[in-house]
Amino acid sequence: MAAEIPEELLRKWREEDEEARRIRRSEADWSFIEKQPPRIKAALKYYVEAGDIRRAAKLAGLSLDEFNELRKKANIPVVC
Amino acid sequence: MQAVVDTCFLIDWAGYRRRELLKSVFNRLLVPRQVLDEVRSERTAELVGQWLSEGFLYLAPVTRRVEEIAEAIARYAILNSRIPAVEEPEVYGLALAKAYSMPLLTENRGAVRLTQLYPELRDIRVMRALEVLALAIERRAIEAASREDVEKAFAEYIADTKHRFPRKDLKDTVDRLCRVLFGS
Repeated sequence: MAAEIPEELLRKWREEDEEARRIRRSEADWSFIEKQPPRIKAALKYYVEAGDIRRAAKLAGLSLDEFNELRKKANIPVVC
Repeated sequence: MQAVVDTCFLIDWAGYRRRELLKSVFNRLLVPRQVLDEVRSERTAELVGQWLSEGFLYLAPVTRRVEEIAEAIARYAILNSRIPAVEEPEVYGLALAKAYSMPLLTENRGAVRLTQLYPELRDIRVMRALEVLALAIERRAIEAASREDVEKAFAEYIADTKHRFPRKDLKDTVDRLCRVLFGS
């Protein structure tokens, strides 16, 4: 059931993840992020690193679209 | 053409200045209940309410067949640690798309990767905003007379939603559109 992932596909996914992370890190408004309360700050930083909006929203204690608005204020792009 | 839509796509698309454009690409969008449960912000709720009342958005019933497909997809997602998180809304979105042979509009990497990995799911056509915008340009729902116009169409979406398309995907898409539209 847990399919073996072909090496080529795995490499493609790694490259996509690395590019996405690099873009999020470079475009994020770090001064805005650092000024946020601890839980929100942690969630935004998690989003920059992982790009998983649903888990980031849960970490922040917000709904998905509330977190999406916050993401935009923090200038963190969705990369997909 | 009809399509299934998930939360991540809807939330992003709701912030786009030409959000009504979706109606020139699709006749109707099916949405699983799990997606509606996640809509909270005023802007997205307003859009969803409007589209539901117009019949453009349709709350899809979950049949036994859809449940069976959803269960299999959830199992795939859980068992493979390389697949980014896929939760109920995407699982049901994929299941509806599979059951009714419709594209799935999503920005969820987990959903995209499940269809790249599992042969049983490869027939699901996953469309991100990139592919939806490309289709709109190709069908002339967005006027484009030059490469600059094509690039501008994507740039508008990027500006409105703070969304970035992977560089290679965007370049390949713009190149393809220019070949199709202008023969160059």
